Formats: sequence, C-alpha cells, structure tokens
Amino acid sequence: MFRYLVRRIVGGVLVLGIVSAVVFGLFFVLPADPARLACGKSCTPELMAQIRHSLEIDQPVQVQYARFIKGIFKGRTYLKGTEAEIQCAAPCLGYSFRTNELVTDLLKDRAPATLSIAFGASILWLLIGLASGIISALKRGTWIDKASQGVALAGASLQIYFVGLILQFILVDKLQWLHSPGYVSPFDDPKEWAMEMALPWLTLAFLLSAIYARLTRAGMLEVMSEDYIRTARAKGLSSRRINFKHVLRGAITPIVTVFGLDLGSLLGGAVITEYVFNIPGLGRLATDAVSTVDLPVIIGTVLLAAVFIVVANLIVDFVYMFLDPKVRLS
Amino acid sequence: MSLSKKAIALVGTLALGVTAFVMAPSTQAATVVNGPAPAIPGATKGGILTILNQYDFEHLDPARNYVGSALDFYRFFVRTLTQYRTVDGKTTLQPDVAADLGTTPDGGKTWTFKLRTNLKYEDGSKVTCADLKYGTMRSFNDEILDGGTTYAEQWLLNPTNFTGPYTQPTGDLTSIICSPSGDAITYKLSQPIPYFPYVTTFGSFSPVPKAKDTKLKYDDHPLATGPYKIQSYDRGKQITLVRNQYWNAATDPVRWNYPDKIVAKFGYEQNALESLLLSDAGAARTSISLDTNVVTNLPKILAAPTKYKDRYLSFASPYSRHLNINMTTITDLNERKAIQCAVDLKTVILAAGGSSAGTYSNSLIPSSISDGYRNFDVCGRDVHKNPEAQVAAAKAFLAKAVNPKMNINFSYRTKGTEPQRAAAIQQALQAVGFTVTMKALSSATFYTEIGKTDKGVVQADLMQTSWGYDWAASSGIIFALLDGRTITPTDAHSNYSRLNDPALQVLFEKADLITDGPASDKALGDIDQKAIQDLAAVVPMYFENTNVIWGSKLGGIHEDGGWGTISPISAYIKK
Amino acid sequence: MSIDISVAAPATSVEGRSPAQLAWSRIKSDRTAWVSGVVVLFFVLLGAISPIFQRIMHLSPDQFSPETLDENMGAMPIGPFGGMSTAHWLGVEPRTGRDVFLRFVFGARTSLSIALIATIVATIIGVLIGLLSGFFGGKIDQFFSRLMEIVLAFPSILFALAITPVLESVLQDAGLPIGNPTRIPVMIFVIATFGWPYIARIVRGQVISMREREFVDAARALGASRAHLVFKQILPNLWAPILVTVALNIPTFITTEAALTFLGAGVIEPTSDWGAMLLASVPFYSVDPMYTAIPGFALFFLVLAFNLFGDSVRDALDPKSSR
Repeated sequence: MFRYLVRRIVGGVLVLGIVSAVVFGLFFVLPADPARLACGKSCTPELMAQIRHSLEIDQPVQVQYARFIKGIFKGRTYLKGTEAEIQCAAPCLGYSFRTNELVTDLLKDRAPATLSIAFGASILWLLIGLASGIISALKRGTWIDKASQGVALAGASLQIYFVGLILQFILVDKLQWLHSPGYVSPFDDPKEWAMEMALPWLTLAFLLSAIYARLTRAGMLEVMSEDYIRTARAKGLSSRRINFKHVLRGAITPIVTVFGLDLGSLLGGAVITEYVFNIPGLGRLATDAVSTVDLPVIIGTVLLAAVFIVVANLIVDFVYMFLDPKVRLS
Repeated sequence: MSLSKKAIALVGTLALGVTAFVMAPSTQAATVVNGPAPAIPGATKGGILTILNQYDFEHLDPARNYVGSALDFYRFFVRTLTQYRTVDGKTTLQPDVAADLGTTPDGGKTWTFKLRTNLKYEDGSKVTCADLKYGTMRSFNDEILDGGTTYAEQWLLNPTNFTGPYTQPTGDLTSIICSPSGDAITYKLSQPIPYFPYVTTFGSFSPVPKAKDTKLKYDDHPLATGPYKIQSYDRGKQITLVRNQYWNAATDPVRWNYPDKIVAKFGYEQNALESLLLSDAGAARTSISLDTNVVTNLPKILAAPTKYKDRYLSFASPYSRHLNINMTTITDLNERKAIQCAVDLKTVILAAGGSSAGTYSNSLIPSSISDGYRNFDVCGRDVHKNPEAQVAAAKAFLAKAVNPKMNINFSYRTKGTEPQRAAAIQQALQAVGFTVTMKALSSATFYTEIGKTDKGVVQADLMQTSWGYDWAASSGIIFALLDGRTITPTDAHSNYSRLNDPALQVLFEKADLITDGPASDKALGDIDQKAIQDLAAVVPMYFENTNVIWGSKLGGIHEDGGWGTISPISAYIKK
Repeated sequence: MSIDISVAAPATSVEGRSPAQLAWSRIKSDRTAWVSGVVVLFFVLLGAISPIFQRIMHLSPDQFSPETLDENMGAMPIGPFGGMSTAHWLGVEPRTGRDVFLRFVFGARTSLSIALIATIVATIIGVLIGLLSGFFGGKIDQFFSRLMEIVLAFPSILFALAITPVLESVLQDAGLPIGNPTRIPVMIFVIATFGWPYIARIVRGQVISMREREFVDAARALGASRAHLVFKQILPNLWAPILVTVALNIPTFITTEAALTFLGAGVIEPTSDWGAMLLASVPFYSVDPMYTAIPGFALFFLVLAFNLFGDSVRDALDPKSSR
C-alpha cells in the first residue's frame, strides 16, 4: 500500500512537471515578444531591455524553464543589480511587471475568495445531492421521486451564466433577499461574507448537486436490494438503521470520487462563476491576466489550478483505496 | 486623458486658448493665493466616503501617473506645484505647493514660482524646495518609474544630460534652481512655453523627499501633503485614506476635507456597479464610482429624471471616438472619401448606447474649444443634422476612384461597445460594396499593434481609435494625431492615419511658432479641417459623454474641468 | 405402415435478434427518447436551414435596424418583449437592432457545428486511443493513461482562454486569415483536446472488459490477427457504449463552445453564436430579459434533450440498470 502511495505521488509530481513545461513552452512559442508583453502600457526601450535581461529572454527556452523551476524551490531575484531589484522568495511563481506584484502574492491574495466559493458550494451541493438522492430512493416511484429527479436533471442541464443571471435578477435585484455577489473576508464581516457568497453558493449547488443525487439514489437502490440488507431486515433491524448505516456506506465510494474531482476543478479556477458573479478570486485573476496578456500571472494561475486538480485526484485515490479493499490488493 | 502613452511635444511655442480657464497673465507680478478653498454650501465634516471602482488605480506615485481618474483621486494626498479647482462649474488654475502662478520675464523660457514655506508631510517633516526639485528629478528615471508624463524631461533644459537620480546618484538637474531661502523655485525650459503653469499640474512636479524615496514601493505609499494620507493599501482590493493632521487648510486653495475617511474598493463589475449605485441601498448611499460610465441603466435614469437629478451628472468628456484611415494603404483620396460617406454615424451611436452615449462629431476638436472648433461639413452634410450614411455619395466617390482597394481589414479593440460599433461600421461599408475583414485585438496590445509601421507588417486599413486631450486646447490633440513628424520607420505613434501631407506639414511648422492662444487654436483648427474634409484621413464619429451616478447622501460631487472627470475632492456626507 | 412424422413448421420462424435490434426496439417504444430526439433534431434543423429564413425574412442576421431602437433610451428596443413584432418574431438586439430570431438560428448553426466537429474529432481520437490502450495494455496503456491524466490535469477553460491567442498567432503565421477562420479551428482544437479523454476512458474500460470475453478468445484461437480482433471483433461491439458516451458528452462540448465565446475566446463579431448572445445580453438582463432568455432556454432544452436521450439509449442498451 505504501508503495502505491509513493507511486501515485511521484506520478502526480511528474504530471505537474509536464503541465508546467507545456504551459511555459507554449507561451514562449508566442510570436509576440514576451518582454514587450510583460512590459506594460508605458513601455520604454530601457525598461524593455531591463525586463529582457531580467527575464533572461535571450536565453533558450530550456534555460528559462530551468530558472523558473529553480525559482519555485529556491526563490529568485529580478532586475538584479539595479536600483529596482526585486526579491522573490520561494516558491517563486514569477513577477508581473505589469502590476508590479509577485505572482505568489497575487495568488495568495485572490485564493480566499475562490476557496470560499468552493468550500461553501461543495458542502451545499453535497448536502442537497445526498438528501435528494436519499429521498428519491426511499420514495422510489412516487411523485416525490420523479420531482426530485426532475429538478436534478434540470440542474444538470442548465448553465451557470444563465442561471446565475436569473437568480441574481430574482434574489438580488427584485426581492433583495441576498446581497450583490462579491467578497469580504469572513474574518472581517461574517454576515456580509455569507450574504454575498450565498448567490454563487446556491447557483453552484443547484447545478452540481444533480450527479450526487443520481449517484446516491442509484447506489442506495442497488445496495437496498442486496442480500445482506435483506438479511439485516429479516433479523429485525429497523428500517432507519438499515437505511442510513449499511446502505449509505455502500454507495459512498463513487460519491467521494466525483466530489474530489469536482472540488479540485472548482478550486482550480471557477472561471465562469467568478466572471458571472464578479468575485475577485483566482478565476477572475486568470481572466484578467489573459485579457492583459500578463504572462507570468497566466502561468502562475494555470499551474496553481493544475496543482489543485492533481492533489484532489491523489486524495480521491487514497480515500478510494481505504474505502474499497479490492483496490488495495490489486 | 490621453490613451497614447507617447507624449508628443516636438513643437515650439504652444498656447492655450481655452475660454473656460482664467489664467493669470504671465507678465504681471503674480499674486500670492492662499487657502482655504471656498466652503461648499451645506457641507459638514464627518462620515466615510466610499469609492467603488472597477479597477485599481494604476499608480499612485505622482511621477507615474497619467490617467484622469487616478490623478483625481491622488489629489486627496498629493499636492503639485499648481492644480485645477472647479467651483460652481468654473475651473481655475490655482497655486498649490507654489504660492503664486509663476512669472516669466522672457516670454516663457524661464519660470519662477514663489513657494509656500509652511507645508508639512504626513509625518510632520517640512516640505522643502529641494523636495520639489527631487520630485521632478526622479521622474527622469522613467525606465524604472514608468507610467507618468514626460513633459519635464522634454521641456526642462538639461545641459548635463541628466538621466535621473537612480542612474546618476551624484548628478544634478541644473535647470531647476531653488532660491537660497527655499521660498522660490525657478525652471529653465528648452523652449518658451507660455502655459507652463498648466503643465505643472502633473505629478512630476510634486515634492518627494529624497531620503524617503522608496522607488518602486513609493507607488504603494506616497508621502502625503494633502488633507488625507494613506492608512492602508491592499493592491487590487482596497485603499483607505484617513485625515492628515499636518495639512493646513489655510495653505491650500484647492482642496477640501469634509469626510473623516475615504475608502476605495476595486474589482467591481460595470453592470453590478451601475445597479448598486442606482439602488442607493445601504452603503451605496455614500458611494461613487470614479471609473464607471453608466451605460446599460441609462434608460432607467432617463425615464425618471427628477428622481435622479441630485445624484446624476452627464457631461462631455474629452474622448473623441473616430476612425483612422491608413493613408499608406488606402492611397486613393476618392476611396477615403467614400469610406467617410459610407459610415453611418447613427448606427454607431446606437451601438454605443444611444444619444446619451455622446454627441456626433465632425472634427477631432471638441466644441468646447471654441477658437479651434468649427462645424464644417463632412461628406457634404452637417453630421449633427444628418448622421446617416450618405450611400449615394459614397458610391459616387468609389466610381471615381482608380482601382480602389475593396478588401479592407479593420482593427478594433475587444473592449466595451467597440465590437458592436465595429460591426455597425462593417455593415455600413459593406452596403456600398466593401468587403471588410474584422480584426479584433486585445485592449492590451491594440495601440502598439496598430502603430507599427515596420516593413513586412500587415498594417490595418481602418482603425477604430479614441483620443482624450492632455490639456484643453487644440494643441493637445492635433499635433499628436495629425503631425507627420511623429512617424518613424517603426512606429506611427498616435498618428494612426499616417498622415504626412507636405502642404499640411508647412502649416504645422507655421503653427509651431504661434504664441497667441486663440491664434494657435485657429491655425490647428484649419489643419484639422483640411485633414478631414480635403484629405479624408479621419472619420470623426462622436465625442463621448460621461454619465455618472452616485449615492443620495453624497454632496459636493462635481465635474472637474481640468481633468474632464468626475471629482470627489469636495465631497461631503449629507446628514 | 409408415408413421409420418411431420414436425409442424412453426408459424413464424423464431429469429434471434441482435443486441442492437433489441436496443433499437426499446428506444422506439421509449417516449422520452422520442421527445428528446425530436428536440435535438429540431435545433439542428433550425441551424441547418437558417439561410432559408434569411431569404424568407429578407433580412440578414448582421443587418443593423436602427429604426427599431429608441436612441434616447440607451438604444433599447422599442416595444415590449424586446421589440417583438411581425417583422421581428423574437424582437431585436439592443444597441444594434439586429433580428434576434435570425441571430438565434444562425447562432445555432455556429455553435452546433463547431461543437459537432469537435465531437467528431474528440470521438475519433478517444476511440482510437481507448481501443489501443485497452487492448494492448502494458506500456502502451501506461503511456496513454498517463497522457490522459496530464490532459485532465489542465484547468481546461482557463488554459483554453490563455492558449487561444497563442494558437491564433501560430495559425495566422501559417497563412490563415485573421478573424473567424483562425478562431474556429482553434476552438475546435481546444474543445477536442480537452474532450477526448472522457471518451477514451470509457472506451478503454469497455475494451478491457471485452478482451477477455469468449468471442474474442474464440477468434484468437482461430488464429485471428490482432488487427482483426481489434477492428472486427471488439470495435463493432463498442458502438453501444460509444454512442452513450458521445450522447452524454455532446452537451459538454456545446456548453464549452458557448462558454469560450462567453469569455471572449470564441467567434468574433459579427458572427452570431449562442455564447455570444448570452454574453451580449448580460448588461441588459434586467431591462430586456427576452434577449437573455432565448439563448439561455434554448441551450437548456438542448442539453436537457441530449441528457435524456443519452439516458434512454443507455437504458435501452442495458436493461439491468435500475430505473
């Protein structure tokens, strides 16, 4: 088992390495001059030369990539030796000349908003999905089942940029039950934080809970018909104990898998969500960086997102391993 | 403000012919003007002013600023040599760190300003003449402190080829001389500039103590001389200003200090901001946005004018929106005239948002510059009366053209309403027979791309551009946009039409020498008319309106005539 | 005496029906499958015949109609429901006056064709890789599985946004004209590149479970070559799971196309596209909700239809799945 763990971790690191190489390489294949792009609006030939020297753009791509990777582990110094020397502590993901900020600082700054969206929404969608699936399974065949399935299906078929606008129109503009989406730190004003996050949470939960409802329902139905349940019932265990304890445990595995993957990709940059609701998170940082062609920030956000996805995959694999002994032994 | 970052000033004497300004005649002994600024009727101290912006300010370092909304904001804590003040709709130039508006004994080549000697920074230290000189000197290192204007570098005499204190720590800018007692400062210019006191409103003429110059970090916290100082600045998120106890209203004719605190938050989205400010709910009541031009919700406001009249303002901004026709790729005059006639200004304004988006223009000079502006016909008609496309005339010109290039490419930015406006123009041109290939460019690279004149680069035939004057005179527009001397083998700078007509250049050289304001405006107005009517280098479309809305508990919001933006400097919270 | 034993010939011959035929009859009798199939066909047809509408209405989707807008009210459509009228069946677009119905059907054409081509490309790649990976196993499988893992590790939308300008420059250097001729291939490339692993994964799983089955063993015992096994034995039996996977993944391709355009990396003006319509409608949703509702609901119904259809097909092919 330990060997499996190690193998998976090494594999994950390898994947990240390849992702970073691809991202890095692709952007330096750009015919546009990276120094010019990094330079910003009021570029002067002197500044561009300095950036070129500092980014070591005259070096071949492999050398630049090696320096970038070294920077992640050891830190890096930009514009070394000039008045404007900039220290970039490890892990150094780059320096945005456009905004005069270290990429790591930008990411740290924007991460809380994305984390808030991801964790709040994920708890909600899990609860809604599980509840919906359980109710459906227990009341199988009735109108409750059909309605619940219908709602789940609707959620799975809608798009966030559509639902988001509609819900915003109803809940924020007309009824004024919720506040305009945005981000304040939960440590500063928890009530406002919740009021502003509520709309993105609800929208995401509605859209993403569908698959959990379906998995829960299917899993429960399958297990409910299995022998050991019939035995348990024959032995006289109450329905409720049977339902929740035995049944749910059987159905949990695929749910955990999907949950991990969903969470991972949401953390990586809920790009559309943040765009639609205008939350200043990582996804917004990324779209802004793309529109201003701020290469270091683009590279940083893509990498961070990939890290989230890979780590989530790893965690899911390990949890899966614990839950399902068959996998352990194979 | 100008959207091009290359300040063009190759010229000799320029003069302002702006009627909105009242300028102290430069030959008289200038009078000392003290504060305080005239009290705003009904204003009381207290409360928190909230500014909700879509974007963070690019730079707060006075040497790195060029953009109107940032200049307006940093006036809360940055004082410059001179500064604009708008009261009751009238804008005047006032001495700020200077005590008077300067005198020049030699027609504008040397300027001497008396200085105030009782100013202090936020940490209690004295503002000295040396600080003022250093503030200008550091702006010379614009390869490090980028983003600001380059007027100091261009117009101050520089016999020692001073490149800046970061590259020449022992160097000196000998053209700035402080009086021995520090109560006056003299600037020696490389050419006579009668309107120099207007140039000193820019941040490169602001005091910065050398010992406290944190170079790139100064951007996060310039040392305050104004009524407020920066308490905290979380870049991209929020900045908080609190009162500067060392500011003395009696020394400041330009500023007010009604609110106790000013908080600016960034990252809002255009439509969200519009809805928020319109709703006037909760915190929105004491909020305003400095970079949001109300567009979508304009119909709601226009439908209920009395409801919003106390918190809504619509004024002409200096932004001209026009099309540049590339004269090096579309060489046939008749073809260019055909393009001028084919463009349907009505659909363009509609695409921009209707009549509240702006006013039709026939010239690059706005009507507010009365000596330079005249309402000449474009394509044989008054565009204000008949903005629609003149299809018959366009076709007639095309018929006269010799082998016209009918397949043209059209570059525009993917920003705001530009794509829809570009689509409108494409439609109009295709209606007379052109085939228009659309080239959407990102706003970050647009101006650089369309300025390229290198051999081998595929140049755009048609470009959708805009321009905001650096100062309210024809000289702030025409030299940059139409002067052939700005074109280099690699870069057309702001002359996107690549206009370089010999007859016009003669007029330009004549205009260089005119010292009288109104005469200069008139001469440049002539050039503008010729370039548009006779040479069809540009298709003027409209001058943008700025539509601003703010919370109902805010008073004292006004249009700043100097920067052409909405100003919160005299804002107060209503009880 | 001869006993005439005549076995009465059965009235009808009992033919075994192949799994495909069984599935098909099940689908035919499933009402949901019918309805959703019709809905999908409806939208596809709308898009396909859009030029006909243009001819009927004597209007082009790119044509500006300034007379339908109120220039003093922010250039919004005159009249309720976004300016609905006999001339403009679904109203007009704010600010431009372009006909919404035409932009909608042409948008269907754009969005659906891009999504369809991307689907085809992704399916071909996914099936090939899934087949090879599942059948040969070993190093080949490891390589492709690793590849899939890497592709899936990329934050797709983010990366797509970032990479679009890069690919555009590359294509333009190669000689493609600027604008949509470059944008569209880039979109197809991006959608297919991030989409094939979903198909490959399923196919691989199916192939793995299939390669040990008796009919494959039998063919192998008879001396069939590996190519024959792959293409003549396994592939024909894969069509069912492939169909299901494709049906369930098409909605993702369609919505990714719309999302890319919504975020600005898609087709450019004046070409109409559902994502572009949704994006354009954002500023006006409170003042002209029709303009948002039309592409929004259309996308919803289309995706719903595909989901239902895919479910029906899957149920028809595998009656064991509990309903």
